[in-house]
Amino acid sequence: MTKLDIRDLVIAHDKKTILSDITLTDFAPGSVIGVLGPNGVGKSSFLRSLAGLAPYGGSIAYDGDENRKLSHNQRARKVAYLPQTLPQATNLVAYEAVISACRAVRHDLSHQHVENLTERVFDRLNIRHIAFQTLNRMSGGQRQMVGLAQIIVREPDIMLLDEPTSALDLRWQLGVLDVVRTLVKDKQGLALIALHDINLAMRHCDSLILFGEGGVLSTGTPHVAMTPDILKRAYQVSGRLEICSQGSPFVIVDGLHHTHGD
Amino acid sequence: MRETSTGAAHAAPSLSRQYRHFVFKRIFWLCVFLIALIVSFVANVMTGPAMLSFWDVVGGILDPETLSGAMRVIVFDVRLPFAVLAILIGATLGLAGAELQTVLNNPLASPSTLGIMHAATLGASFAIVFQLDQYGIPENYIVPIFAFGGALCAIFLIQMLAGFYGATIDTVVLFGIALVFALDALVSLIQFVADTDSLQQIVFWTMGSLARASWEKIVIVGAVFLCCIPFSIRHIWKMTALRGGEDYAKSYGVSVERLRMLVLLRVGVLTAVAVSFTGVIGFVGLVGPHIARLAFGEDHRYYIPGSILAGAFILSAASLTSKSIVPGIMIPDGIVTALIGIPLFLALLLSQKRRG
Repeated sequence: MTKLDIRDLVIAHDKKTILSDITLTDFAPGSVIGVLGPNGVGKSSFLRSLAGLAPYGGSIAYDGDENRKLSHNQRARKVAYLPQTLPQATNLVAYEAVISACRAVRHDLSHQHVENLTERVFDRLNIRHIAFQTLNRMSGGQRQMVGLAQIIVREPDIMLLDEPTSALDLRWQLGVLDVVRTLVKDKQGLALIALHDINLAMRHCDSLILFGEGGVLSTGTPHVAMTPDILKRAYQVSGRLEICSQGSPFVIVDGLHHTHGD
Repeated sequence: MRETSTGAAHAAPSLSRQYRHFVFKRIFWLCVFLIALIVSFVANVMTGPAMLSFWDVVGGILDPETLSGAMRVIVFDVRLPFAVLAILIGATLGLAGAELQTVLNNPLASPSTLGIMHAATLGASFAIVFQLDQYGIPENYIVPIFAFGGALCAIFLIQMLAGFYGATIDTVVLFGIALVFALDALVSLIQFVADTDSLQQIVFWTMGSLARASWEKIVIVGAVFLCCIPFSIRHIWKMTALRGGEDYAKSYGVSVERLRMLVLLRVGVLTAVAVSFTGVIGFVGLVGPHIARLAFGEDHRYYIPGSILAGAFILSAASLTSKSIVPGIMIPDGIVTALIGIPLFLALLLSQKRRG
């Protein structure tokens, strides 16, 4: 497994600081972590910095190696990042897209081995039926599944997924989160998932990182990290935390929160 | 989710086997392209003021002793260099166009639409008008070197533009049009100061023609083409991965900026060597990749050879046409490819617009 340490991280966009003072260490191996926060708070930028695609201040270290000093190739052996955009609608068939994602940099793997990995990922995600369809004839959801297959085919230690379920219906959302969880458990790795759906995150993540007010608002297991007060500060909504009949916490939003001046 | 799939997985044949079945069709089409290319090649050697029979050509190539002296001169000194150069230049432009379209993620990119070809022409004209071959390097080498210099400048500009504004379809194509106009004006300026001899040579170029084919030129173009192939093969998976989008490719560990620079350099070399010996032959590098994409998809293991074959076939067929329209007169090939290519280019442009 790969160890991730984030210290004093600062993320800026067009010279404007959007997140600062982020220190996150001691991630429990094998856990799925939800990255939450309102639109534009910097969830995507945070994941892009972790993926080495955006500059950052402070320190992000994988196994003690500073992220910005790693080459794309070195980083790709430990970390995989799923962009928020869907893969381009090209003439490639899904099978080729996944194979090429693996073979582009892993010259050390035999073709047979790559074929086996690809076979496994199509089974894991249950998308064998679209393996020989071209991406330009797929629905958005199907393309998102192919994108995910391209990312997890290498079975990375750390997965950074930016809204991996944005184009999926309920059944596939749960399926994807299940697969990610299994993979993370098997590898004793780590998955950081940016999500918009708070309840999906509460239900499926081991812990949450909630961004707001230019930094980390709260972290911890879902029922610790998410409180009515935090909800108010992060999203400017008033809501309640209820416990469902099976004992899991969930959020009910009552309405917009109006500050006292209004 | 996993439980439902494992049962099916054992019953169905493995994906790799299904895939081999799937690509069989592509390999079949590659063979069809190859046969079409050979047919056009033989027809090209047969056609001319002195018509040769099919058996004259095939027998003559396999065993030159069967031909009479005059026939041997016609086949080996006139027809073959012409037909071989057509295939080589077509293949070179097909490869350059295919790689350019992938690396700029732009289906309208090609050496001619982006002005790379015209920049190379400017470099070549410069070498001719100022007779740089008098300084010890033979013309067959100094002209390509200067053409490459010109192509390099255009590539540098495109790279900068892509860096600042992103290589979107509209930006790059509009930029290409501006570049083509500017470079045409500069070539005209050089023509203005040129003496009669060089002027004739430059005019010949701007029209694009295979008429001055020679074995030495074939060896140079062939050598450059073969030198580029191993690099293309080396990048074949990275280029396929890049089709998913830049962010995805980076996420797999592809250093996209480096890849783009290396490929653009390669495109510059290929374009320069093609332009140096035949002048501006447009649209082969644009249409070839599109045909390949339709027939072979975008896995570069099939797309690249497909585009090479398609490019070679287009130029081979165009040169055959250029000889056949008016018997006894060879219309410059650049004019033929432009007349066939421009409607296709417009069709592509409009279909892109419709797709939004």
